[in-house]
Amino acid sequence: MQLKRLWFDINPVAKRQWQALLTQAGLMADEQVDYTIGLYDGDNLVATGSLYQNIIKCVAVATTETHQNLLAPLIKALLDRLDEQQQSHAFVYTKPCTAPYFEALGFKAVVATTHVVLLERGYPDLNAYQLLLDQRKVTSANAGAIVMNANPFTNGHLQLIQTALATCDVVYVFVVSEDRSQFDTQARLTMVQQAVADQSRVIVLPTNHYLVANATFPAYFLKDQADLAVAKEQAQLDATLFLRKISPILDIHHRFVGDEPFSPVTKVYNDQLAQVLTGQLQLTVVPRLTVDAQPVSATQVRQALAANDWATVKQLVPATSYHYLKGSQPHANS
Amino acid sequence: MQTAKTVTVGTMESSDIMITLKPNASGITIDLDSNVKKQFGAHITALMTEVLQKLGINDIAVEAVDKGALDCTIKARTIAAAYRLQGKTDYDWEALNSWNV
Repeated sequence: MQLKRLWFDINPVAKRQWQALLTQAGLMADEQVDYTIGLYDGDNLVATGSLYQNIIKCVAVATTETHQNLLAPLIKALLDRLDEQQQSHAFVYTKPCTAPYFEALGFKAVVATTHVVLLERGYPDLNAYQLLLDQRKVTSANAGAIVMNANPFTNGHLQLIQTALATCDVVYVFVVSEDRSQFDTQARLTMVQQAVADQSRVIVLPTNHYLVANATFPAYFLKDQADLAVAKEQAQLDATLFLRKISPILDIHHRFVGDEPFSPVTKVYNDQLAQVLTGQLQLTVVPRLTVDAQPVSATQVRQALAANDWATVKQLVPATSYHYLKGSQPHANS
Repeated sequence: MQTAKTVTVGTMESSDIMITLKPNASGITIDLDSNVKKQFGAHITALMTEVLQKLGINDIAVEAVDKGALDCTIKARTIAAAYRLQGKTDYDWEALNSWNV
């Protein structure tokens, strides 16, 4: 049995074997991976696993070889690779029927829905995140929460926060911590913090890997190509995680989302959220802010930035974001 | 000692134990997953605690995935994890041997 890295670009044979193995295991040959390894018995590929950032995915073992516990060396090799990259935390996204195999390898379930289980291993883990939330917790009678990417922070986001403040005594704003958007996590956090600096009732928090993240909701970042059925599963997982693991810590009673006229993926997300939260948390869908009968969206701001149309940008974002964007112009245009 | 680092040693093969050390505010907490936990769980936990204490590590969270490792393996893996956590490679063999490992 030999462990090898698979290079799809230069090895079409390995790629075909890999696709065949995954199909046999009932998985989609998802090519959005950074690193793939395979276990060979002679010329036969008998087991495979991949990494995408710190997410273990596309794991399959040939049905003829399942008696050998090939999963252990496979996962160990992937964890070693993450270790080399100083990444001490890994996720696995799998079906409930295979979750026990991963649990036997030291993974812990973060959240589960009827079709999907998200497991993690290493540190900083969900406990650490919950601890961080607990430290930032403010006593409240009716706390609200908003999750936003703020790419970049617009008047629409600001209006959403203000609407939430009208009914809630404390509003937690979770800013998505994934570097897959035009503006990086730090920039987006800064824009939100600047915009609400004068509001002591607003608490800005990172989501780390636990909300609308690569791990919980990868389709969000592939809005154009996302399969809506897949997005639905992921959205349900994300919503469940929020309900079970995050809202109880901060004593959140109310979740606010922006109405979504454009993106089907975000719409799926809002629908799933409504379904999962029913009867447990109040969900309010806030209609989009409109400027000149045009709904405000971050997409528009990015388009205006790309076209160097600062007049439009100024109309769509609060002054704090405008100054920030002006200051980081070369980056914003990249 | 306090540390922000995490280290992992060992494999998930049969007869081995994979030990991960993580920061912990105070005390030694051990989260053991073993297929012989019912029979030897308490023993394995006590053994790891003893080794860590002897090496002067009193505040640590341990995550161990045991696949039926023998005592000698558990000790060796724990020692290796502790040394790696502290970034030390100058194993004090005399002291280690004196515990009758």
